[in-house]
Amino acid sequence: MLSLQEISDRLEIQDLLVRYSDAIDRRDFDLLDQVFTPDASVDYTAFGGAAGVYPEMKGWLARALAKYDGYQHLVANMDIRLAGDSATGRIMCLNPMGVVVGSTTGEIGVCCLWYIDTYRRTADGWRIATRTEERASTWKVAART
Amino acid sequence: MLSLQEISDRLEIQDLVVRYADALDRLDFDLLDQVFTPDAFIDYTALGGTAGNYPEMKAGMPRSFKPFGNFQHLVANHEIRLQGDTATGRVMCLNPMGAAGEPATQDLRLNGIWYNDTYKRTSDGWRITTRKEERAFVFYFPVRS
Repeated sequence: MLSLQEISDRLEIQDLLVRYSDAIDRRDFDLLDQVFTPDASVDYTAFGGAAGVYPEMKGWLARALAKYDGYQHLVANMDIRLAGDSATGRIMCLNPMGVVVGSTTGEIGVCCLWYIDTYRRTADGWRIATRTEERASTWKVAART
Repeated sequence: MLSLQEISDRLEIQDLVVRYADALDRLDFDLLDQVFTPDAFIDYTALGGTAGNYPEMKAGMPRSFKPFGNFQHLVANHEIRLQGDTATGRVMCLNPMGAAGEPATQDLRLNGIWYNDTYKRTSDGWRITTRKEERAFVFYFPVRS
């Protein structure tokens, strides 16, 4: 049986994953300071994005997402493996990216991915120490909004 | 570390949010009596719906869902903040709404929503006291028959 500590750690890491999505989806990029460690390594290259350490990636995210209208990062299938004060995770994300602002192609993008993560327990709670995207698929789908 | 009480409250509130989705998806609107407090306030205006108190909103639901054949309310990314006998929540919902009729002759409508909720512990368990939809996107996809 899982211990109370393990259940608590898993729920707090789930909270962390939801907080990441919410920060991105609300464009509240300062909230990411409560998601990543200051030295976190983030890699979005699987979808043609950038890779780097968190402080610079925070600015990149704000610029890269500015061109999209409404979108969501739905996380599920959270495979979390605890190892004391650190943990690893593999997290599915279904991400309708919506339309590029000003686009008239009549298409929306849908990204299907996994986040390959490591987590660390800090004095402020669990944080993401590394996050690498793994690509399942990208769809360009005819749609109207 | 989360206490057993906090973990239990969170799981019971997750049950509540799943029960809401199941009641709608099975068109079992009486089940909503076990979801909302009698004086709950519901606001669906962000996606073009109505707003009002629970009893009147329940009465309008059969008519609201009539144009749609198949649908699901997939809830995820559930952020719950407990404050004793009350709580607040923000829940993502990915909601494909298929048109009624076979073969489908209308576009598939995909709603990307957040529910901004408040909850209350009652003698019958946790209930939703307010639910307000927030829109991420609405896409229409052409469907082949």
